[in-house]
Amino acid sequence: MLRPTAATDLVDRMVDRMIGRLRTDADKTWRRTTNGVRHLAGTDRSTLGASAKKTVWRRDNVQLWRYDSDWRPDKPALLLVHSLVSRSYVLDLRPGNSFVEALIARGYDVFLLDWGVPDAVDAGNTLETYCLEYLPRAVDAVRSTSGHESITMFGYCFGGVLSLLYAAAHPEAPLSSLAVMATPVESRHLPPLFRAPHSGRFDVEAILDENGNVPPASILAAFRALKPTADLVGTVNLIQNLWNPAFVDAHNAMTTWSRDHVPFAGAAFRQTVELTRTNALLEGGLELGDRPISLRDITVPFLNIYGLADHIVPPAAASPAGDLVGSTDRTDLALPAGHVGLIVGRAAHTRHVPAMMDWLDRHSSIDASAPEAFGPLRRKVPA
Amino acid sequence: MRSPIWKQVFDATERRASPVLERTVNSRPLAYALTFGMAWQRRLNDLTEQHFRRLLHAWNMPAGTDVRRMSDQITSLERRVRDLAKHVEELGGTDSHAQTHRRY
Repeated sequence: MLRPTAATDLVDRMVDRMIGRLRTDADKTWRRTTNGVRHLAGTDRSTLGASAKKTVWRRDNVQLWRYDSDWRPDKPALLLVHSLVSRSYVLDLRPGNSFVEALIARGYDVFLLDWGVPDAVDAGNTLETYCLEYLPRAVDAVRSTSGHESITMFGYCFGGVLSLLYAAAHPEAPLSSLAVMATPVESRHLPPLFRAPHSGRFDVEAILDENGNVPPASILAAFRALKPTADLVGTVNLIQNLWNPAFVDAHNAMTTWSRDHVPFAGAAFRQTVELTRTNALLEGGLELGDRPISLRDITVPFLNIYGLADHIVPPAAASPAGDLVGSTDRTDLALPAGHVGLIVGRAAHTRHVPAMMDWLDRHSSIDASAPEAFGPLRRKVPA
Repeated sequence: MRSPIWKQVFDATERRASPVLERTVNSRPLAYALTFGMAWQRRLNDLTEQHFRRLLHAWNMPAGTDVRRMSDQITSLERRVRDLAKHVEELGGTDSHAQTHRRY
């Protein structure tokens, strides 16, 4: 039998616990309400792609950005090549959750090639326009701005395909290494909806808008169809975690980006359909500018990064890239992540990105520098 | 921390429904149906446009296709100007980066 004092203590503890729980619940409800109102009013959106940068080169709608950084002489210039269908700010999403920021913190001189938003004039842009006109000039601009003779190229998603085509078409290109991430090379393993245009029954022209480009709405619809319940799951998770401002902020950043697509230049789209229909990256028979090219001509150190949970570019579609290039020094980095989870999120910043940077560090070779060229651009990165 | 009951029910339902929905949406028949649907929609639009064009032209008014044709001409002109500007740039060597490095 409990003594009276022990019984009182027990009751006190139970009451305290209940009051504590009620307080926590009331606090969460209050925060959920205020965050919900802010979310509905749209006043809680943080700035995306906020790292300080300067445009160092531009041509048509294409821009080359150089991020302000604390330069380290043992690191090469790194050129990030983004996809043609999404916005490049996913590579610099939010402070504390930015791939670019992580690279800068590691001492890299980071450049990002942003393809801009194609308009009617750009509808005629072909893969040659991107790989034989823009990319070579952007590489030149990186070299002359950074003072480095050779650079590291890092292509993400379709940007990886463009990087592969560029490197194959320019075996003498000044690349110290090439990395591609979530890059589709085996079209037979792409999701069925992405393979539909290759069936031969698909009217490519039917999908183009009045400007001659694939409209962003169609691209978004194709991505949404891959995970039909994703939006609903996202909304339910948001409701459950509405009390947590960090969760709301991360959710807003990701949903904003995932719904923010750019038109796909019509001519490049037609070529891409043909490229994937013939599975030319894997089977061979690639042509660029009426000239046969081969991925075997890529001989620089090569890194192929792919996500084991990627539903857009499944592992089977991305993993053969290493076997296609002629590099003797090639590495496959298969990570337990999705398409965006490779570079965005806690796991990305604690495990995935450091693993990529370890490889980049091991394959960094600096052969020239011109410190005076860095003067006006260099500044300390705030702690 | 355990999720509330409503969330557990939702997760369980979603876990079961999601693969079925994904299989359906990403199936070949649906992809073909979408393709045919789009083609038919385009054909229907063309037909509607054709009738309205006749009607508007009968009243000597411009139709959407006339505006589009004009827009296409402007676009093609813009493209030519852009190409010419690039050609002039190449001839004049005004591309500063090209002067410092051989282009790859």
